[in-house]
Amino acid sequence: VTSSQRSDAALVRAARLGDTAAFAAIVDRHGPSMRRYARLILGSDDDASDATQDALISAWRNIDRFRGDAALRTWLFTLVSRRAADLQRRRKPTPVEDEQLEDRIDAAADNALDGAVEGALVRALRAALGELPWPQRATWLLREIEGMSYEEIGETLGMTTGSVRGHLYRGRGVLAQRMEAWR
Amino acid sequence: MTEGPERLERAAQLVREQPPDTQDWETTSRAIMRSVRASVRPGRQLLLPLTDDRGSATYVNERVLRRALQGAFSRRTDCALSDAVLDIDDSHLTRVAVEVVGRYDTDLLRLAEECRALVRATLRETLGAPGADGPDPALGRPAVDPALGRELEAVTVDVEMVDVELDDPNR
Repeated sequence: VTSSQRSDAALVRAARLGDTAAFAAIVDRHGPSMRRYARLILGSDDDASDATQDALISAWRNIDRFRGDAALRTWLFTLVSRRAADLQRRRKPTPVEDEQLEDRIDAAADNALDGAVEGALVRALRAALGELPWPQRATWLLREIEGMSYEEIGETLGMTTGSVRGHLYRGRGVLAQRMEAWR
Repeated sequence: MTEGPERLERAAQLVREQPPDTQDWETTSRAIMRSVRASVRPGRQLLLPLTDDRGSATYVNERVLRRALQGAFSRRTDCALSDAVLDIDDSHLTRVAVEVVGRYDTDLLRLAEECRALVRATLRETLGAPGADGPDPALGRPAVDPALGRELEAVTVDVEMVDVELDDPNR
């Protein structure tokens, strides 16, 4: 069985005993979605990479404390959310790097015309996300992009499921309004 | 307001389906693993009763032993090591307590005995004590002080089955 085929629980057990190959498999399994979340919530590729890197190094140092009561993914997203919030507090706002994201959308699109339209749609979403208060942005991203349950979002962000529902409801409303206005 | 929610859903779908930037991720992943490998966790030292005529000492960090135990258990299909706690008194190993996750259909008592034997074998192999056939200088293995063998035999090995899983717990 290769590391990439093992369950999260088996990889955590091995990593806790010092198996760096098992931890590398955790990094490659969960890191890309952690960085996507960080990129969308921070609006910067560099900050997203820093937050993801800090979160995963912290996970390695503290893996003894992870006892499996929560899912590994939830724990890792808790770490990256905290790092992203720290960065947001410490750093000046940076311009959204729309062009990079649009390039990737273009590459995935069926044809050039659709790609241009879709790229613009994603830019509009990112701009709208940037206007949302942090808890609304975080809950919306974890629910709609990462597919987490309300309970998982609550654990990740340290809030009750009632608060999650409230932030999500308000966030969805504002985003839909902004997208309605987009032309 | 009619188009807003549809556009929002379409934009979210595009983001979800966005292909990962694998080349960029590899750079980040490599940087993470460099830091991980560089951040060695502190560990206690085990003093082995191996000396030369000048009284030089030989130590093994407990990380080596924990890693060896993890490797030994990872080759089984009916159990996995969940944790290994070493009691070290004045640099001497006195107890190894292992937490083990077993496979659901396994006889846990028999498994616990096998785990205990596996821990003892790993201690001997890793710390270089003579096996049943004694040391083999022809293989470049030093003839160790019999005190090491006796010391390892005196180590208590406690096994706790902490969980069971339906499939191979190492997968």
